[in-house]
Amino acid sequence: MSRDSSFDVVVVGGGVIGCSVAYHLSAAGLRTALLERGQVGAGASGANFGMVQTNDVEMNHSIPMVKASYARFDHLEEELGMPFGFRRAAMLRLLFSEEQWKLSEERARILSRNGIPYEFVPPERIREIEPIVDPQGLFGATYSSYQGQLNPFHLLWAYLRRAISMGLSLYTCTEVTGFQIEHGRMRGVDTTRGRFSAGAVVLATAAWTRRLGEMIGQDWSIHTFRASCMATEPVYNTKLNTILTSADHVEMDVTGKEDAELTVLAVTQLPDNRFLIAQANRPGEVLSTMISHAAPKTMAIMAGRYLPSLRTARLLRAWAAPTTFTDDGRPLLGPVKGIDGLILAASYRSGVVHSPLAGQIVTQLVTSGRCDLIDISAFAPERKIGQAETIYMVKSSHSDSDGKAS
Amino acid sequence: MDDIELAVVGAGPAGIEAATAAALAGVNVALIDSSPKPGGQFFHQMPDPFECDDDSPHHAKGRQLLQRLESTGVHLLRDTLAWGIFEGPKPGTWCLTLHGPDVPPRLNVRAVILATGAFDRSIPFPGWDLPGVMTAGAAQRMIKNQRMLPGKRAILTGTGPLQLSAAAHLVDAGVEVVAVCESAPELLRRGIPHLLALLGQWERMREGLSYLRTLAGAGVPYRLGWAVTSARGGDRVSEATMAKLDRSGRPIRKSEIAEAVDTIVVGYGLTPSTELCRLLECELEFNRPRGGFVPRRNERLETPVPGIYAVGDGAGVGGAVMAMIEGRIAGQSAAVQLGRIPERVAVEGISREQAALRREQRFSRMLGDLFSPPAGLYALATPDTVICRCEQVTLAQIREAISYGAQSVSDVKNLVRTGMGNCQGRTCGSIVAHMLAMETGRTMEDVMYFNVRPPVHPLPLGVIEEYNEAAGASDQGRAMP
Repeated sequence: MSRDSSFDVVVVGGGVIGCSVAYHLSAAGLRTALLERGQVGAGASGANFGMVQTNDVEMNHSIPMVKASYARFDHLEEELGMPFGFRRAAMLRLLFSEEQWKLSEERARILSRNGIPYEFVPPERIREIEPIVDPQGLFGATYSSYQGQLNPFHLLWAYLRRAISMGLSLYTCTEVTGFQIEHGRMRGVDTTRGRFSAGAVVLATAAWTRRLGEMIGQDWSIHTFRASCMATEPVYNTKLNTILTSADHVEMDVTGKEDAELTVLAVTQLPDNRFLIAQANRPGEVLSTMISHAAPKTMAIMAGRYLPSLRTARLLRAWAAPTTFTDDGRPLLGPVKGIDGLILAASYRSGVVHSPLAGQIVTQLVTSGRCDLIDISAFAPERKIGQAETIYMVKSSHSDSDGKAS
Repeated sequence: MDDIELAVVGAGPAGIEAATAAALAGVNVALIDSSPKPGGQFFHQMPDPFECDDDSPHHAKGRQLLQRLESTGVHLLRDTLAWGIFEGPKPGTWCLTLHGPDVPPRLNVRAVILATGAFDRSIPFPGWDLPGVMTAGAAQRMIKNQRMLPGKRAILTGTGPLQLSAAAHLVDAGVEVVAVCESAPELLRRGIPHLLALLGQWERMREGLSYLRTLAGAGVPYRLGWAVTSARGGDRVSEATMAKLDRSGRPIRKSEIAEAVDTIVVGYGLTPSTELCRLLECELEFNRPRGGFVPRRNERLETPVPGIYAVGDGAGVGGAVMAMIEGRIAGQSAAVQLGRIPERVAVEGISREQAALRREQRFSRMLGDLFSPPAGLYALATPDTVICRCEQVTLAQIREAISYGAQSVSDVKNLVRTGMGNCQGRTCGSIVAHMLAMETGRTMEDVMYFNVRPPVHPLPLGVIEEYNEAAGASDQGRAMP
């Protein structure tokens, strides 16, 4: 199939960011095409835990962005005309030692000061919040109420459905094979289904962004790791109030000592009583959606340790997806220097919570060339990416990252 | 068990032959099957309490194969579910995760032959989820395996020779069979171009004729170009309506006849069981005569995933004879790959089997062409008919997903949960695909198939954890403070 079609904007990537961008562009009256190499949500967005999280944020530059984006969830279902099961939920993170609290202390201070509640809970109060957790042996917990939970597939489709009704053209199984650039200006993309012409191209391509950048001599330092998740059948004899995470983790070799699953517990119970359990981290560059042999076992070990009653619950599915991070914890968001009309919206730490604002920011950039919603200069794709200045470090301290699989 | 090099999953005709061929070549083989006894559906063995003498040639053949298997020293893992397949701990190895009595929870091997067989295909009609409506395979199982009558008065609807066999077994067991509806239109006229493929198939024709004789003797009408179009009942089905089909497979309403029955047996052929293949993200292609999406394979029956072979009905429905040939080809090919026999020694035997396979393929193509259910049958369901039975999703909900812009079965799954339940879409996967293709004018290749995730059957978390109840602990990785 070959095609030569003209659009105002081509958005690449049918994940939650790409769908939001496509929705906001369509709502602004722009003729938009959304290209996806596989199926809608084939990457991390379709493997998502559905957590809307504000506490696992890079703390130097990203707090205003996460707050502005989170605030939009209050009215987003109404705006899109389709429910996606958003509810506010608190996160309880179990701590086993004073050392673990020390690592979280600065985060608690900064977040609270910025209006994201994040407090220490002594062991004797844990039962009030989560009666099924045995506080024996715990040093305490951190409690963060400003979080949420939603159905990630429905969020994706709420954006998409509204966008399609406003004229979005969706092309799945359409992989970008090259870029059309003339005299430093974006002219369109070549794909496995022919050429798409557009003066503006948005890459919302998460784990695949680096590979696309290499086609045009860009070095975008986005790393990937494998995040895993699993779902049980509905469980009625166990009730969980919070999104439960743990500062402890278990480790199991995948292909040798250098390559291990580091499992940090994150458990939630959905409105239909199924449990979702996440996540396993596999450091290293992966683009595969195949789960490792170690991940289901380590996730089950962690879940069984805190919620022994789940041992008799049947597991229905376990899956994985490549998730991204940058060494400074910030996304690559903004216009690409030297190529007019190319915009990046990639490697968000948590795509779900950032998706509403991402669409708004990109649409402003396309229509006016600037963004007055928040200061995005710290996210410029051409910045020199160093290690985060704060305690925020992805690679070297997995045990400190709050559970996430977004 | 540490030195197992090859795992064969499924101990039906294909798996038995594959394991035997590889073991004879000196390969250390484990043969894994979820049943208490090997044999698969074709050479099915009774559970011990129901054991009885059966001196039919069919069973004699089965016994002979099983005896040969035992003499080769293959490790047979019975009652064992291979619930997942993963990249192994060393490059070029595969890790199978197992659940069964006295089996290791993981098996790391260098090659895997998937011989996972096929399961019954249903096509939904109003009332198809009532108790008393069952697949042809289930009805046969009840009679042959459990010595139970599925009901007293039955009607069959479906297509292909398996229907005839199910009907004959029901009659023999004493069930009153009201009619056998065969959905294939104009069977005789369409059969003429295939007459050559029948050469040398005397044994099969004899078998088919004996079923027809049984049905004729009991006065059971064999209705060509008919199907059951709806069922009614309370706690159990009490009435079935059948109708003549037009050329596209849609019912001609004025031909409808209602019959009082307590059992409806549905058998629209078989669907290959490709779950383990799909866990490996092995590329599948749509092949209607072979029962749906099947793995791509080379001449040696290896899939595009190196070291993974697929044989028998699980790689494309073709029957037991073909399955056994494929098993022997893959077993010998795996032995070559594992360095147990040199290529030049194996090549002659393999080419001989390949020639036999081509002859069999002619016959199976004929069956596939004649007995593929016509697409119009997928229009029998009404808006309130439940399509995904695990998650109770109706046709109306699927249509709503389509109206949102769903283009593939995974879009429908994400919107309305079809295929997210216990069976992971084994039953509804191909139904949703056909409906989506029909309603959006797309091809089956466009709408695709559901992803499958481990475990391929639901299992308690404690099993996945490899939790040791006696020790009160998991054999776990390193716990980090």
